[in-house]
Parts: sequence; C-alpha cells; structure tokens
Amino acid sequence: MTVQAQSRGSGYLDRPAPSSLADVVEIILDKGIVIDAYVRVSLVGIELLTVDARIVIASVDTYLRFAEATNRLDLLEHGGGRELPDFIHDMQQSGAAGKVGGAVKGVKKALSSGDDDEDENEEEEERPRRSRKSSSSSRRRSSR
Amino acid sequence: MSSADVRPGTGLFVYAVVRAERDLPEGLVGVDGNPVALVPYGEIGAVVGEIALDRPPGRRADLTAYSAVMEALVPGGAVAPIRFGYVLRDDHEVVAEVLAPREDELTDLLEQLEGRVQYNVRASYVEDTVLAEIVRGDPEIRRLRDRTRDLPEDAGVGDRIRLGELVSQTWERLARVDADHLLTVVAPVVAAHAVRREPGPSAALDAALLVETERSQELEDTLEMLAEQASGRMQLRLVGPLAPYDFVGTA
Repeated sequence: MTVQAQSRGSGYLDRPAPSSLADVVEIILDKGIVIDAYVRVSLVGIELLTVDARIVIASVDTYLRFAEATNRLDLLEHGGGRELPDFIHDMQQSGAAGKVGGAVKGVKKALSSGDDDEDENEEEEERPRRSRKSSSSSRRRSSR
Repeated sequence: MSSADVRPGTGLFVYAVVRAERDLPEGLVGVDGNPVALVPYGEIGAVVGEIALDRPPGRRADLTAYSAVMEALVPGGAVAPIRFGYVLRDDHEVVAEVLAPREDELTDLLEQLEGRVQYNVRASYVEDTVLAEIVRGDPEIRRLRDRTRDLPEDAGVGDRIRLGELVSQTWERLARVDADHLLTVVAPVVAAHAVRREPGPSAALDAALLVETERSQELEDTLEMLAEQASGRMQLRLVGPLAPYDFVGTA
C-alpha cells in the first residue's frame, strides 16, 4: 500500500494512503459480513454512528448556504472568490455533505465514553487539526 | 496455529473469512496487539484474535487495527471482511455461528473474490468552478443572484432560498451526469462497482470498485486520464488496494 501510495509521474489522480481515522471509518463503516446479532458479545456500539452518516439534509438552511456561496462567487469579474473554499468547507462540515464529519463525530462519541484521559485530550486537539487538514487537502487546487 | 485454548475472560474478535489453506502473514497482530490466528472449517477459515471481554468499549485504535489486519490479508488471497466489532466466545462458537451455517455461501464468495481487490474512488468537485458553471448556465439563477447578492444579509430571504434551491438541484443533476460518465468509462476495467454515496454537490462519484488484481494498473491509468480531463473541475481520489468491504453482501 505504501508503495502504491507514492504518486507516479504527472499525477492528476490523488493516491493517498488511508491514514486518518476519518479515512478508515469511511472505508469500513457499515461494511462487511454481518453475523446474526444475537450471537454477538459486542465490542462497541459503533453501528450507531451509521445513523449519523446517512442523514441527508435538504433544508432551507442548506439552500441559504448555497445561495450565499453563489453570491460570493466572483465569476471572472475579480478573478476568484478567495473566501469561497473556506466557506464551502464550513458548509460541508455542517450541511448535507457532512457525512464524514458527522460520522467521525459519531465515532468519537461512541469511542470516547470509555476512553482514558489521554484520549480525551487528543479529542480536543484533533478537531481543529482535522478541519485544517481536510480543508487544505481537498481544496488544494483552488487555494493555490 | 490453533486458537483452541481461549483463556477465561477472553473472547475472539472475528476479522474475516478466508480460504483455510492460505497462510497468514507472519507476526500479524490485530486489536490490542494480539496475534491473529485461523479457525479452520473445511476449506474456509475465520481470522480471529483474542480479546479481553472486560476491556473498555472500543477505542479508535481498534478501528485502525482492524483495517490494518484486512490490509495485511489482501495480498495473500481472497478476504471476506466481517463487519467491525464482532466478538465471539471461542473457536467453537466461531465455527458454529459463522463458518458452518454458511459454508457453501462463504466458499462461493471467496471464489468470486479470489484475485480481486477493492479500490475506492471519489470524484469531488472544485466548488467554485462548478458554481460558476451553474450560474453561467442558468438565466434564472443569474437573475436571482443579481437580485440578492448586494442586498444585506437578512434581506431577500425568499429569493435566496429559491436561489440556493435551484443551485442545489442543478448541481445534483449535473452530478448524476458526471457520475454516469465516470462509471461508463471505468466499467470495462472493473468486475463490479458499488455506489457508496449518491451523486451530489460534495462528490459526483463515491464508489467502491472490485478489480482483478492484474488490472489494477489499467484502472489507475484510466482514472488518471479521467482526472486529467476533469482537472480544475473535479478532483479524483483513489484509495486501495483494499479488502472487498463493499462486495461481501450483508446476508
């Protein structure tokens, strides 16, 4: 995997290794063979977060955010709305497209209850760090 | 290695079903750093690892440990992942509850998966490019935008909602067209695909692809070409090879 993750040549195609918790959750969430529930001794309530993950909102709030994004857009008049990427990122965190964010929050919720102090601290730190990271990686092209 | 001697107070975390004849990677460990072992039953077997039953509920490290086990199993032959989080009491229960009742089904499944791996592909949008495209392409959207863009934030809410609704709908239509195009180009290279998320403004395509291992490069080349074509408008991302999480059904 690590070898494959190295980008070959020109590379329009993004070839990341799934490293963050969000990536892993996204990959394994709700997937795999299901064993009849009654035989399960249970490790975690992880499936609960799939409820989060499936929520798709087409609310007035979302529409207003789209409208604002559209209105902030500078088309070709001034050469590119700088605020837009960040704005849309915020929108994704809270709006219809926030699946990963929601799922991760769900995981954290599910996972943090039995966690020790160290994990709790990590949790506090990880939130802003994750936002910055996903913002810069998914919006690389438009912000350069 | 046999895991017949499960100590009191411990259970078996069940990772995946594989062919019994295959080798497990040397020194492979899973959740809690415990070694994984095979519980064989005829031609199939379950990959399991010991786990303390009184341990605290799962931590995030468990998710990554689980996925690391899958990743390590992939090169050695077909892997049918068991959904994360199943713990059974001992190997008798693993046989009785997982392997024996579905022996034929699991044998067939592993046969289908042999020599194939999963890749996850996502085509996400470069938002400002698409928004500009949408505004240019729709007079009604342009009109609403012109009418609302210089108003104070709390004015023209009705128009704003209508504008956002139109943008959202247009974007979803556009995403379906893009998704169809991408899947049409990719289809000849893959054995199967499963849409993970319906096309929408966040991503035109979010899908799992089941691919013959020997066609992996071809898939990557195809997606590289698509990524180049879509450059500036969509960003294509390919993750894998992965265990075929999306192709083991749910039954």
